[in-house]
Amino acid sequence: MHIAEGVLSSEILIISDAIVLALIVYLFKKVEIENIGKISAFSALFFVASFIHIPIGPTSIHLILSGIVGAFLGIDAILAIFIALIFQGFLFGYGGITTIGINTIIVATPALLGYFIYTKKFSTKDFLVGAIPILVSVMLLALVLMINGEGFATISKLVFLANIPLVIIEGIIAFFALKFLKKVKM
Amino acid sequence: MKFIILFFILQNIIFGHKLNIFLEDFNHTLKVQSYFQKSSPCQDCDVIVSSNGQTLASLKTDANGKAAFAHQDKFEILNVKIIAGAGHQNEISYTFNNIKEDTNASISSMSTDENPIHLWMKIAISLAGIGLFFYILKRFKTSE
Repeated sequence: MHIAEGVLSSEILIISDAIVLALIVYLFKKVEIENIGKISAFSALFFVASFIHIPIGPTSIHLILSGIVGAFLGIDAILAIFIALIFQGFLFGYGGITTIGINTIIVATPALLGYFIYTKKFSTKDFLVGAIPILVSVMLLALVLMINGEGFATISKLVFLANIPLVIIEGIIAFFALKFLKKVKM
Repeated sequence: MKFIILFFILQNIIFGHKLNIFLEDFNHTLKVQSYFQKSSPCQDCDVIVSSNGQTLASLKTDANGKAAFAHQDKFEILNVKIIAGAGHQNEISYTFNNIKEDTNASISSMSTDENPIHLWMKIAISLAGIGLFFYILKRFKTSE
């Protein structure tokens, strides 16, 4: 899901970095003290999830859990995911530093859908909390690659198809995780 | 304060040892580019290209950290290992996409095969860094 350094054009990187920088500054000012502990925990959860690899044929995909993070943090999920992405980019090469903006947009902004779905009341919402944000992230990723240039058209289709299993897996994980949490709360 | 300085020193040490690999497949040529952090190229580094345990080519990177491997056969997976010396090395597995003969440039995935101790150390430092960041944020907010 992360885009590495040296792939995207500078126009996309500059615009996305500027947008995310403004958003993060706003979130820094807006964040409430009593929520910081929760945001920190979910940031760590998101970070650790990326090390859980699931083999799919010749390749493998890693968990993201942005839907679950978004369900519990709302807009603060963007801050949590942004910080985790920085460490992933610096130390592990997942994504990069110049691509932090675009990766935040692709991964973190759809997490808000997780919050939106979680606040609604219908039977399949637990599955959709995990699945829909990932589906939107995959669509954004494919779109960004297509915008980047004609040479990426095939790759964008392949990336989209390769991440469809992740949508279903994340939905299943979110379903069981949220069911468990409801049980524990009661 | 001492803890913060030590944290950033540790980050810098691990960060400084990281060897990046970037691959581009175009017109039956796999182009390899290798560089350390801060974009310093891996010059005159050994490049070993293999598939299914069989070594296909042993190359050297040039002054810009680049090497090229021309291939006529179709491979499913190629392993590219860069050895920079002094314990610095990295390896990436590249899966070929099913694309047309006039191939497009492909995006590389940075899959690494590094020492497990280094990996766990980096994970621990990252988690500590996340905690530290939010701790500092909380202190800053409290003092406002």
